[in-house]
Amino acid sequence: MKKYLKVLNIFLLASFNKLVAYPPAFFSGLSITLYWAILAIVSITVLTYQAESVGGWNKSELFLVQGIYSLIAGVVFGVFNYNIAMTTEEIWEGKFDFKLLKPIDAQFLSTFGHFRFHNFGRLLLGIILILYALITLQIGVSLWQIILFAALLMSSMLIAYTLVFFVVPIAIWSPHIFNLNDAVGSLLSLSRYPLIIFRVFGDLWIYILLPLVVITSVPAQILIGRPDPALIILSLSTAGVLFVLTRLFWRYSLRHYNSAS
Amino acid sequence: MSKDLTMKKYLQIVKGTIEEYATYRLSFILWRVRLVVQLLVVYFMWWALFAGHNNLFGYSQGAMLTYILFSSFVRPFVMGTRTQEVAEYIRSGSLSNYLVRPLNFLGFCASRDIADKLLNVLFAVFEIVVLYVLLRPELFIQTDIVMILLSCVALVMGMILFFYFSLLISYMGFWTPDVWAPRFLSFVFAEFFTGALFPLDILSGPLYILAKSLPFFYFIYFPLKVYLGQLSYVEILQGFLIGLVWTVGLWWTAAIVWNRGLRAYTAEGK
Repeated sequence: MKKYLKVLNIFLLASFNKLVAYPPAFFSGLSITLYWAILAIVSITVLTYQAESVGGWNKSELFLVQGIYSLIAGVVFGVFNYNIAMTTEEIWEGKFDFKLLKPIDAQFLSTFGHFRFHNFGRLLLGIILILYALITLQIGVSLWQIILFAALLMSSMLIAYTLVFFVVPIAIWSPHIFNLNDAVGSLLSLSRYPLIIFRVFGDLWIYILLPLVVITSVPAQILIGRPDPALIILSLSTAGVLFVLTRLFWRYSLRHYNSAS
Repeated sequence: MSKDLTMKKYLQIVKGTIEEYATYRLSFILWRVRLVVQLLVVYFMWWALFAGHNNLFGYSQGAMLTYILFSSFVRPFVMGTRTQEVAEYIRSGSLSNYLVRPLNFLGFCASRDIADKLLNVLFAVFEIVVLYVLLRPELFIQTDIVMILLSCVALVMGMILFFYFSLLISYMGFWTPDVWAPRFLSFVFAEFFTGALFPLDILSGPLYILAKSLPFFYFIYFPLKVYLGQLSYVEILQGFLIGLVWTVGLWWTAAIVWNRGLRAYTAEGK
């Protein structure tokens, strides 16, 4: 454990040194991520200008969902996504062997490496949006709500991580699929919308899309005082099950990995 | 004879590009799945918005859902492109390979674009048909031949306009190694100002005026509004005139930037 924390610290420092060495890259990345977030806010404002709500979620509640998505996206794209995308490229180019040869868990190395600090702007904006939503909704949040919200947020981040990481073992089996990472990122963006709009598909689709829809909707329901115990349990167990399945699939795929280098 | 040979050259490029997509079929299908998912989310978002409302922003549910569904056809037709590769050719120095070949580089780019659009439009039509069968939305089908023809002309104008717009961004590669940031920024602007997510006339006055003053207005929104028959002939004529000014302006600018860029091009490569 100490070894992993030490390595993580080294990665963090290296990424920070890169930021300091190339500040324009950081600022251009930051402005783009902030612009995406502002675009989402403007879109919600425009859409709810005449309609009071979308599927029973009013403007402030939609901001809350967007804020939670921003928070999760900030962590996923700031910490994991780039490294996972690089790993799939390394598998295609035959450079993945170098990761396997290192005396540290390959999944850890594939997950952490470069921290993309400009994505933490999304994190900050997410927190601001959540606070803004709570203030406009005039909601007082109890300590238990905060604790439960934090637990569900962790669970949502784990779900998001497993969905994004799932492309790596797939890349071992089919290295020629180039845009799988982008496709998963796109699917992940479904979670910026409340659960209710997917009910039109019917309940079967809710269960198929479950990991995506619980990522933001369930933590949001905690904060606005509409917790659904069944969904909370479902969210927590989905996170655990997905993590175990992803880990097992990853280890199974590694046993069948044929290096191309 | 020489004209036939010229046409054959570019047709071969179209064929070759389609074959490229066919080689990596799964990647292409994943790309289409991603677009369908995004379309469905926007579609059902509007569906949920219209719950309890007959009319929003001056649109009926049928008109709005028609707009959203058909934008998934218009978007690949107008904005499907391979011109983003030009920046990479410049950066890597492989542009030189194309410059020494007996073909016009612009013609080469246009041929690649046509292949991309053909494939994406084919799939988009198939997807719309499948979605129509599954969802049975109240679609508005234009019956006025004049409006259909005018919307086709608007589509072609939008296609040419976007071609030169995208090329201009790629031409930045002559002076900067990083074209990703301006291209991404333009993509982010386009998401909002082309009318892909919603018709631009639902925006408030100042925002709508801003949207109308940008070339993105003529990519998706203008052709769709013409198709829906929601513009008067005067407004259509106005739109064509302004769109034409943008098209000529971007074509002329692209030509100047290309010539200047070639003078600055050193084929450094990696």
